[in-house]
Amino acid sequence: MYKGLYYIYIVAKNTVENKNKLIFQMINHTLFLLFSLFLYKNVYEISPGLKEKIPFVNAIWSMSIYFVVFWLALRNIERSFRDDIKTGNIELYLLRPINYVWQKVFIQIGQGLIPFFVSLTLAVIINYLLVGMPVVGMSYFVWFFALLVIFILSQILMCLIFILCGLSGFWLQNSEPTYFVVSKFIMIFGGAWVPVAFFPKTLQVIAEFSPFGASMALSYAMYPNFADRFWILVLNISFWILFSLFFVHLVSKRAIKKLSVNG
Amino acid sequence: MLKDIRYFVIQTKFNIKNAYALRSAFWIGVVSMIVNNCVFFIIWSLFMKSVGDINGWTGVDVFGMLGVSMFIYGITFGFFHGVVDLPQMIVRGSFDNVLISPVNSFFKLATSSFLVTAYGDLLLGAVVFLSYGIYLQFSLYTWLLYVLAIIFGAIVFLCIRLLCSLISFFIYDGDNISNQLFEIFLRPGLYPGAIFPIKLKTFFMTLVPALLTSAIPVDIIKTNSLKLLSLSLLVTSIWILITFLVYKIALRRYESGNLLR
Repeated sequence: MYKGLYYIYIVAKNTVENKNKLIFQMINHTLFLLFSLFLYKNVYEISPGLKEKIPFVNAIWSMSIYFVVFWLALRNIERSFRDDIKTGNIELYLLRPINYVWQKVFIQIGQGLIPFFVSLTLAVIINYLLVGMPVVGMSYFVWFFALLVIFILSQILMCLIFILCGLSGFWLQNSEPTYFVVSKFIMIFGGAWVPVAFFPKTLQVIAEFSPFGASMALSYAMYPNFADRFWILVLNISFWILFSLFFVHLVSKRAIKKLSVNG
Repeated sequence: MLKDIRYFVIQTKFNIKNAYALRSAFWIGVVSMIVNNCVFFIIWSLFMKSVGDINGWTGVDVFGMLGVSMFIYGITFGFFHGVVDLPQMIVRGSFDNVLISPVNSFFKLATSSFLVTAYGDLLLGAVVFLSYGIYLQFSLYTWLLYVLAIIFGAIVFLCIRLLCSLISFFIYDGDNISNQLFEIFLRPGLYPGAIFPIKLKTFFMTLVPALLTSAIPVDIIKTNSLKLLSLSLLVTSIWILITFLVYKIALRRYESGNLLR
């Protein structure tokens, strides 16, 4: 546990060495938040009926939170696996005293942690000042802890999904196509560009209960019915975590057997 | 100039041939990008279904816009991908190879690398934007407006991508910054043009000309507006001029990496 935290700390420290990068990332984030806010404000003015599907404030918070999680960039685990397999660097990591998969997870968390916290702060300030807090049907104190639970669980699932994508590279040689498909499903069912509440009812259910939607459940936590759905979301994410964990265990064992180091 | 263009064509052919040597990898790359792009069609069709027609734009128009956007993206990254690698070349000092070449440095740079997946964008984009024209039964005049608008869009897109890369001449380790800047430019172009309020639309047509590469070609043919096309031409010319000047200034700042062997 301590080793892991230290690993994350070192990587995070290295990442913020390049301050220019972080500054530009956050400029990008802020501009995008403002841009989507003004755009959707216009959409809600053109189609007032959308308020019945999801209030404007909740739609904005839902999309913002998707992009905040985006900066944690756990999806990059797949790319990291892919690069190691292609370059043969994987043997360097295998020689270290920490499990290969864990190393990749720690590196990714370390790299995304600071941009994540900065973007979260920016999103909360901008959204609070420009549109106010979302309607969530519970006290904001309880909501905060509920969010924390959903965030941790959904990000564990996200990690597992992209570890599986990365491991597919041991058989496919290039896991990029798998990544493309999975990340785009997460994009649709996570409500990146269009909130899931805009979808037809059946598709909303599919989105919410699919592993892709579950890995981005934080955006569902911005919906007005979150209080009623909290335990269903927790159960759904937990189910997919167990399911993915089983597969990661199975596939990673086979992948290591398949590995041939050329020295 | 003719010699440079001939070099560009030959090098591009060579790049494609090279990538096609690994036939299955080539097609996997192309098909996966097509699948990837289909997501945008799904997202926006769900959006349009939910919102209904906006400001005269239907779902078909949004598809046409996405087709244009993908086609332009495909052209830029399929034929000029080297400009994306420019920041890394500067950091590694390998830009020397481009400068000492007897051909135009821009063409040498543009063809120095290749992106297979861009051909997925190119193919899908071409199929969609052509189908859009056929579906709406464009007249010859409308086709002409449409194609010209797409050409202007492609030029602007290339100019902006190059400008983003050129930042590496001015900022140390500018690779990531260049990508972030390009993303700022890219994103607005992926939203349906109809949902932009007029002021925002003007902003994204001129100062950050993202809509020139997606929604404006569709707006031009929807209104049959020669005025809007002329405005596109004007904005394109200004961006070409800016890119040309910045490119010249940037090249003067380059310090050799002394990696030539």
